[in-house]
Amino acid sequence: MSVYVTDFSISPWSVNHDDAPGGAHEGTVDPATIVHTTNMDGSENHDFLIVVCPVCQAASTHPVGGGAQPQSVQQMFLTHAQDNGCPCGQIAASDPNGLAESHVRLQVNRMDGPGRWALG
Amino acid sequence: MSPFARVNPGDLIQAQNLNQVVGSLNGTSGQGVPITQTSVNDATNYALSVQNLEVTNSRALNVLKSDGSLLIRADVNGVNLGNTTITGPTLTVPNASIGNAKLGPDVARANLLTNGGFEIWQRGNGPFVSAYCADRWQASGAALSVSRDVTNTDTPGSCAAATVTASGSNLLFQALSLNEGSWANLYGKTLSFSARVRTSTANAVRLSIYDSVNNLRYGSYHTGSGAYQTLTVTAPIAVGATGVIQVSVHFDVACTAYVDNSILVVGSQPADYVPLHPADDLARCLRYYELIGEGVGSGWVMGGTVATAASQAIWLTVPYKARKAVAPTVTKNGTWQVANCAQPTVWQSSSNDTILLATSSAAGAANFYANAAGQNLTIEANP
Repeated sequence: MSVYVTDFSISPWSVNHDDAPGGAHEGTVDPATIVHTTNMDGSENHDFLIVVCPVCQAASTHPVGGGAQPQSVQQMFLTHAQDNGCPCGQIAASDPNGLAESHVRLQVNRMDGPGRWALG
Repeated sequence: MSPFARVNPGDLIQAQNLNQVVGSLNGTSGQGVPITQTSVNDATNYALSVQNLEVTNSRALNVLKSDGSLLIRADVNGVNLGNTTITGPTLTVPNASIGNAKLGPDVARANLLTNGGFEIWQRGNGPFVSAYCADRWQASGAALSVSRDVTNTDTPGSCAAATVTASGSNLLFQALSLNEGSWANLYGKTLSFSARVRTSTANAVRLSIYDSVNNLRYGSYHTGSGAYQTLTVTAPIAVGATGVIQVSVHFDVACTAYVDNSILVVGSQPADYVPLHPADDLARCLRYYELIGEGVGSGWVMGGTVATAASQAIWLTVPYKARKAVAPTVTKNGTWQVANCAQPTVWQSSSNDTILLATSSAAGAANFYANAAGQNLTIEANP
């Protein structure tokens, strides 16, 4: 599948790399190490987040739509936006959580279409 | 033909009355058809044979209903039963008159599943626990371990070997996302799911079909005979169901089981598994998962440039083998070979391709490539 977060409740977050060469493995990552990709102009791209496997250093670049693991990935984008704001400037870390959710949900709809939202 | 004249009780019978009957039976021109007389207490001949010696049409029998419409007609064209015609060995029925329920299971029909034969295992041989295993198939339940097996198959190839250590909700399932393409067209239709299953544990393995309105509908258990049996389940899909349509193999108690050759079809009649052309089988799988740069000798990924200074970008667009169902997660595995640059990263991706980016360390030729086992990209899209 990919390197994805399995537990957001405690920091560092638990991650699973379930299709790792040689077999699946697990570990933890500091949420601060999960970062957006970078645009050509050096700004962050709010449509992608990178999670690095703490065991084998494989790096999964997840799209906001969810990619391999819709529920986990969308939750990761949402939590990231709520904690840090969004690099596009629409959401600040101090904004209500619901605003971040609306923003991320709009991103999901734009990328994969309505109906892709998996967080209820 | 002249009509017969009725002879009432007490009437004197006229020779012409009798001659008319005899003439009819003999097939005298204008009076009737000949009836061949045969023995009745005879294992070879029929009790009644009617032969029309007229060669062109040979109209032997015509039986009508009270309203004059056709009940049975037998002539040179065959037997016509009003709405069904039997001509020689061929049965001709009115167009669009045979429903799905009348079909035999050996009538091949389109399989809605991906990798129904469990032939493609791009993620490896396992064992897999609570993860995707064979392409598009997911194992669920901590007590269930699924592996690729090539020795206990129903037909040559591979199957899924399931080892279950405890009772509970242990599933091997495939989900059809109603958000993907045209699956919502299955609303209101009845589906039949079947799979070949082998186990020696009775009442352990059965199939189900799920939708969000009707929940799980189960088929019958495997008897535990130790031989492959065809398990089936048939259920309608509710209009307005959301999320996924899910077909599952349930392992309700501890057991070892093998699952092979599954098929999901529209209709109340399950169908026997028929393999896809291997190219089509793989193409379906690649829509959701693929490996790029699998290893030595083939599948290289290589990007390079001649940098004039440090910190210059090296871009490489990597097209996928197949367009993905949704924007995928791209995972770079392994430490790649690099010269005068850092490890590449995934810069952006779409349903069609991904773009890798590395940065030169200094002026001069700079490149990166993956050329060994474990150095690759995995592309995964799960709608």
